[in-house]
Amino acid sequence: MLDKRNQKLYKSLRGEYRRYARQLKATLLDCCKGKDEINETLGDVFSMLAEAQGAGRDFADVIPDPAASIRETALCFPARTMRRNTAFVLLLAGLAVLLCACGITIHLTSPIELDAVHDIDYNTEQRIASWEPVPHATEYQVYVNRKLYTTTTLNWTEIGRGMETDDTFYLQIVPVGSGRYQSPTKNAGAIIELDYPSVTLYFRDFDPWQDPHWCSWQGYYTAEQIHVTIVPTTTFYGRIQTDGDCVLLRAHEIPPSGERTPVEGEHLFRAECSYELTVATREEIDDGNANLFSLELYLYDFLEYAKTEHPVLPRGMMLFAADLSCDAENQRIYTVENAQFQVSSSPLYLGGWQESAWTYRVFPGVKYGDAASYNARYLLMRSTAETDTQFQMEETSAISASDEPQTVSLAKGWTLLRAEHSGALGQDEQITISADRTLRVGTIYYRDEHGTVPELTDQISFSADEAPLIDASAKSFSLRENQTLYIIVYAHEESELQLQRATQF
Amino acid sequence: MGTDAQLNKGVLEGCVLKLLEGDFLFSAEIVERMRRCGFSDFSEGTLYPMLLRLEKDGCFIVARKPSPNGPPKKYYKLSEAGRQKLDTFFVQWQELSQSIANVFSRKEDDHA
Repeated sequence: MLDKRNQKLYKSLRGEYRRYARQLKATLLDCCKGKDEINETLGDVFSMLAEAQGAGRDFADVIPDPAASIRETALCFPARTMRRNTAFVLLLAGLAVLLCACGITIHLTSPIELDAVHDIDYNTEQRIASWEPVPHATEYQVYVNRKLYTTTTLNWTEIGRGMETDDTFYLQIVPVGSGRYQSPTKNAGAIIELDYPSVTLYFRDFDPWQDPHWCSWQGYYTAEQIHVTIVPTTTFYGRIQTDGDCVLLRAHEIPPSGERTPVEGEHLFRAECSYELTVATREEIDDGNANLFSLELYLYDFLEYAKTEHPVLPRGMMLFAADLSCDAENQRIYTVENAQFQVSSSPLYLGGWQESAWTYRVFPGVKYGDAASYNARYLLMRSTAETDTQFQMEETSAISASDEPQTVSLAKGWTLLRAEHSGALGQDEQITISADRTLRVGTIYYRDEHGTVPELTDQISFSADEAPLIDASAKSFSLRENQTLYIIVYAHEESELQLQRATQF
Repeated sequence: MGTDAQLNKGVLEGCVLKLLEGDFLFSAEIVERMRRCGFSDFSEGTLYPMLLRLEKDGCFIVARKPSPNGPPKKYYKLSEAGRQKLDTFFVQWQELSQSIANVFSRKEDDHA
């Protein structure tokens, strides 16, 4: 049995070097005594072979006569003597012969089990599995991941692409005989680990296109697959895609805990996690030239992200592409659950991001194309909330106030309340709200007749140091002509809310 | 020089001992020096069983040094026992070569 260091060295050998190492190992371990000494010698020889292989030397130049070399090496060790159990087996065999001589007939037609296949080898570059031939075997069944893959009369076969799962696959070779020779009942298999190049990419490694949504990376590797680890330096929602020459086989999210979770190419990429991708070329490598691998990273802008299925604003920084075509009409569709965030914009490429002034404090007030965000190509949002905060859409889940007192039931979670001015000319109105249970208030904001959001602070009846809560005591909000009030509340459990609009005198 | 393997056997061992008389050398260096000296067929396949045998006879001081490209390399240098073996080889070689020279110059009578 090889020790760990020698196993590692052995695995690094390829082709004729590996075959020679296997023969030497088998000869010494089977025929010679002194396990530790043999392991030490094998370590020396494997190191020498690895060095010669690494230097690109032809095997025939290094070991011109493998058989002589193995023989000479074996002679340096004492030969293995017959073991006690071997002697016992021979004794039994002798007894059996004696019994035969006494007239016990052995049926010559009884089935004989073939030896199991040992020493399954796999060449990662050539994708060829090989094994030692089994005497009397007429063909071999090749099983990949316990499914019959092919049948061959040779002692090697090519394994096509895509058989592996998570860089490993289980290979089993079952010899098949004819006549009396039957397949062995126990067949050992081999777990084949594929050794592909890997590369780690940060934002700075992606080249930006003219369009701030798109960045790309390219690399040349003499392989059909590579592992790419993406380490986002800022959280972003994006899409990883490949061009026509390669495909994204797998993607895993790896949080600090190290537990790998499969994810889609389109995903919320969090700064505290890394993302391991497996990218493969569409065509098999057919010469010594390196394959081109390329990845494209699509960065969502804020509104695109808000329209996705479960948009959240994670705690900390989140990066968006700034889409300058977003107009005020689009912005009013969405808002966020609380005001615990800031926004900053920059014309700089995301790899060279430098935090600039935090310009905006309330999301409905985010404006594009003004002096502060002129030429902005990227937006950075900073949330100081304790957890991920959900986005709420203005046009759905809204409850409107009317002139009559009304009681509405709130489900657990976030609800958007909307109170429009009745339209009475020259009249300010008042919205009164109370609840049977304490509700947390997220965002409070107004829109005027143009849909824009004016300054808020003097219009909200909470004082600056008052906790933004709604409970049994009625809270009042002023509403001027042509204004609409929006309040987003959070219910920890099902609650009832009283809501009334009244003219303010 | 493509010399007969049987003829080489024994001689090569003495030459390797001689090379290791001075500095610590590792296997690839020994092969290269032997080839430069004219043993063009000399290879690692011949060398490492020989090193193993001589090491078991206590002919070497062995040192392992880290290698930037792979596992640590094993370096060999002659020990005192190795030096004695080398001296013995050299005496035997001189006697043998003298005998061969005598045969080729037909001096058997003088020698007798």
